[in-house]
Amino acid sequence: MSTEKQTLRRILDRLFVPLTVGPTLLWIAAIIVYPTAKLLISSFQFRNPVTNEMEFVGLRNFRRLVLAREGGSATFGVFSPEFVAVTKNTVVYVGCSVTISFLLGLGIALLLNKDLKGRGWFRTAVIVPWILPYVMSGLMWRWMFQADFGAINGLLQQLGVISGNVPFLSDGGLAMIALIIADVWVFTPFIIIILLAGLQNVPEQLYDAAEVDGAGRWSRFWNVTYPFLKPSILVALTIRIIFDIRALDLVWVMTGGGPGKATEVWASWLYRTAQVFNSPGPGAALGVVLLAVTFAIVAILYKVFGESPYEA
Amino acid sequence: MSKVELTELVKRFDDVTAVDGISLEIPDESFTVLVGPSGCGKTTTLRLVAGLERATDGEIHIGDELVNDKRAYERDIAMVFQNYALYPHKTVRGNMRFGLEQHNTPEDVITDRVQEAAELLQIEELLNRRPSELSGGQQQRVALGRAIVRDPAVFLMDEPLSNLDAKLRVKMRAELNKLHDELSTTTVYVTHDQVEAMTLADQIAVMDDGEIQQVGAPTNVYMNPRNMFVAGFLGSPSMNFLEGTLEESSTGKFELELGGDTHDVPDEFVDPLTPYLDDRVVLGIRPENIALNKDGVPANVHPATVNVVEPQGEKTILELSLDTGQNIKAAVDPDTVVERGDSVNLRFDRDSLQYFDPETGESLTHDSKPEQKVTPT
Repeated sequence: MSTEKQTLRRILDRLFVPLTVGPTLLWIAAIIVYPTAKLLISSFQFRNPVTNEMEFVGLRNFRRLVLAREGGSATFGVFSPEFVAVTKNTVVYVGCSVTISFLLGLGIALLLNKDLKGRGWFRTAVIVPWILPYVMSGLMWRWMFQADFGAINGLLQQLGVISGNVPFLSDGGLAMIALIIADVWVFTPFIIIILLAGLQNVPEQLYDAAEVDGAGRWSRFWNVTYPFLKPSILVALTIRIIFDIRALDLVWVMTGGGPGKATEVWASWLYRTAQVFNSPGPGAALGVVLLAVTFAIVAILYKVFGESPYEA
Repeated sequence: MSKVELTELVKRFDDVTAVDGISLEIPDESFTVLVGPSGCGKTTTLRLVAGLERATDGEIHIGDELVNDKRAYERDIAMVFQNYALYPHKTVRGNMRFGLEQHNTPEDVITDRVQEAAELLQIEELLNRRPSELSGGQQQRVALGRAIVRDPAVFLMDEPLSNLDAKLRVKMRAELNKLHDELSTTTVYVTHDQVEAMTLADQIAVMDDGEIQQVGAPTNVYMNPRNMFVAGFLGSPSMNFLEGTLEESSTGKFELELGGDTHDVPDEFVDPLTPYLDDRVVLGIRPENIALNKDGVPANVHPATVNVVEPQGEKTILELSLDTGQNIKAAVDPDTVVERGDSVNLRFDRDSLQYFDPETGESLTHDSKPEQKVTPT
């Protein structure tokens, strides 16, 4: 081979990595880095209603959202009642939905992992709620919880549990419960699928070994199943919590955050602030808070479930 | 220490019968090997003894106790699995402790037993490692250690050496032998490897098709197989089978007409073979019992042509075709000078001949040889 050809080959070889990885990096920059930077910048700005220009306002957006106001100025150390209420709603909504759907999903996954008749059919059927568009599920549940002709009112009355119509979605406490029920219904299949995949990774012989070693059901779960399921639990919980924190579809369609602010969560508050009230600055500030909280939760999840059973 | 007794044991999975009414006595302190091809029911039998499968019918006694309805951990057994089945997230120590912890053994006893077993198996320096940091041979030792710390009445081993490379397998085989000498725990060992079976066992049970074909001391089963399956399964290369018609010669002797060649039947087999006169009979001869005679043609030799010469070091395997058209293998001394295409004469060692019924596969001469008694080493 001539020297020129060798030199050309060497140059092309050296370009291999930039040429293959480069476009991907640009794409990531375009869809992740730019919006995140834009969000961060916007959170420090406020749109002047007269000039329609974005003006730098420092931490004012954060202060106004988070802190209580007295006579027009924010008071440090005291949270705004709206922030407290929305945060409480979000914790209740995410906490209850994720916990219930996780436990339910784990139970069903363990059941479907057994050699039961009709298992294949059930495995397919169980996915249905998750593959429906969330907005559609939201509409369906709204009609089911409807006060005058909703299916749930009808069912509960026929069963004799309630005597008159219950306005589920316009009663503060009941609306949150209705939301959680709908959310669990929609997202449990996701947990089932992920955990079921994880359960297939457990070597059968380990159960035999544990049986011979004298481990009971609980001990077998903790000492054999759980270590192998941890990576799947991490994926399931991470995605599930992220989804729920930013979940807007179900809340917006079913209750719109109401009645009053009874079911207003961070995602719906953000949407209302940024889009409905046309305030991109405060909306972005809320987005930054959400991002930070989500990161913190994911970090904790990785700490708890991040170790693979084969890792030393 | 305990004996194990299986009586008319049956295991059916839906419509497949994996174990078909086997009876077997495993003497106390013996090393009994269940050997057979894949799917013969040997592993299922072991799992039945372990309590990992429930018997469809029949009885399992460990010691004097009927254990059919007992759970695995109530049976005082410990098991070593083919893939070791170590808990990957636990350290070696954790793996060895686990069984004892589940039985609420006092902490000081656990510590002592783990230490003793680790010393015995020379894995003390591995106690704080995880299985993923160990080689196959080390994992194997840990799996043995996990069984030993339990100090069970019976060890059950399911092809424990099959995942090791050839050299390590030979080494571990010797160590298992030594371990059994030291601990004298009754051991039931499953393998498809007949060399492993022959070298480890006090008692060998050859299985096929869910049934035990023959039980006995390894050498005895090898030398005196009950049927063509056992004869063909034990030994490598396996026994040659030549089918022919049994005839009486003009001198009153029996000979096997092999289609152009005749084989003289030794006098001691005349009695058991008499009912088969003028009938088909299979002659069995092991490759190592065939000698090569390149010179002249004395009586009772079989002319053949060499097809393949396979030097294996300590012996050379020849693939030959007899002039009758039948193929045959012979194991000869490595210094034998022979080439492909050579015409040779084969001489069968007359003390090592076996005769079988071609239809049932049963040995016709099995009973005329004395049985050897099994004594645990």
